Amino acid sequence: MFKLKLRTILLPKKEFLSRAKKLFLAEFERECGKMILRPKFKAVTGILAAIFIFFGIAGGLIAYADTANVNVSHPLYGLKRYGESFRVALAKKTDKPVLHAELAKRRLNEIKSLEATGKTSKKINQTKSLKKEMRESFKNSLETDSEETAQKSCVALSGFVEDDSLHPEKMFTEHSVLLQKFQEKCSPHSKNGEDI
Amino acid sequence: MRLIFDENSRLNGLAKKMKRGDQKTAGAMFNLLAPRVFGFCLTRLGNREEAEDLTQDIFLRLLKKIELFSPEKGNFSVWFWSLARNILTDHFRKNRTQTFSVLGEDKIESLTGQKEEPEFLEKKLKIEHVYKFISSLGAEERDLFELRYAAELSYGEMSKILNKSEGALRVAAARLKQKIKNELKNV
Repeated sequence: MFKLKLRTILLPKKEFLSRAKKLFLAEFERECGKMILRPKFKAVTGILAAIFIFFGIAGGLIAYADTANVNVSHPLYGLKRYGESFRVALAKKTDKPVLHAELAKRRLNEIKSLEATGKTSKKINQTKSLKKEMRESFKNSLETDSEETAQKSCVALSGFVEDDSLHPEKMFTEHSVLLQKFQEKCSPHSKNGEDI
Repeated sequence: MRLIFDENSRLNGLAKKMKRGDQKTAGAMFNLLAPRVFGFCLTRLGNREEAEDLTQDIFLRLLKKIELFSPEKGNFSVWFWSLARNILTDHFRKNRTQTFSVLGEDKIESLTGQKEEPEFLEKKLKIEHVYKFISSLGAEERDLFELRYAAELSYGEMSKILNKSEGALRVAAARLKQKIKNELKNV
């Protein structure tokens, strides 16, 4: 009972409460902007940082896998292939044939390493797919629109074709049209001035 | 006990939302605490106008300091009333003002002569009576009075603010309660 009495005695005026509340809320609104921005800013910064870090790490791994030319069995092989597609997409038109020649060589080396480690049904399927991609890259490398580009491409492909260890004839047996096209395009442009 | 716990959780929840900039919550917080803060200031100052000013100060200071409150570290009620006590102490250090309670009889008469509502004047006199009573208390009893009866805190919260055991506070509160009852029956 006395608590109630005390409470009544100590009660503030309604006018004061109303006035003080308005002042408090006005001040709160002023401070509010800072309060809201901070957590939202933190959240946005956090998300941006996470995205940046993710792409940074992914980019680093792709660059490593591509430059190191990791093998088919390597965990980062998929990233290497992404790196190659970026390079093809970003390459100038005049540089693409040489790039494709490099990719054809890469596919051939990958096929050889797969075949060297024994045959399983998975590896056979992988080899088939790689051979298809290699022929595609070879074909793309012959798509030249200038003398200069054709020369560069032929030089790159000559090395590919001449290398005995690569056994290109076997690779192209079923697709001798490709080999024929290469000979037609590149015979006036042999490495040492001789016919291929 | 459950009511105190519910109010604590409620205050903690309001504080969290306030930190995120929720104006509605700020208003709710004010409604809940302002009357008690005023009563708390009034028991110490004995002067309405000063108590009003200080109440406003306390709430404006709350806005600046709310960022420092962390629900994981403790209870909002304890944090807030510690802040209020500190502000009150600082106020006393800076302003040794004359309070209504030390005004002589003639001053009271002149005030009586002013155009004030009779009810309000009666309240003023009651406050004067309460303030005189509080002034007669020792420092510890005064703290207990302000926190228990003006701020309406639990023994648990008071023990954290005053750094005393709950048991000791309960014993002291029981003695104080008797004193208050004897005094207020005359008011």
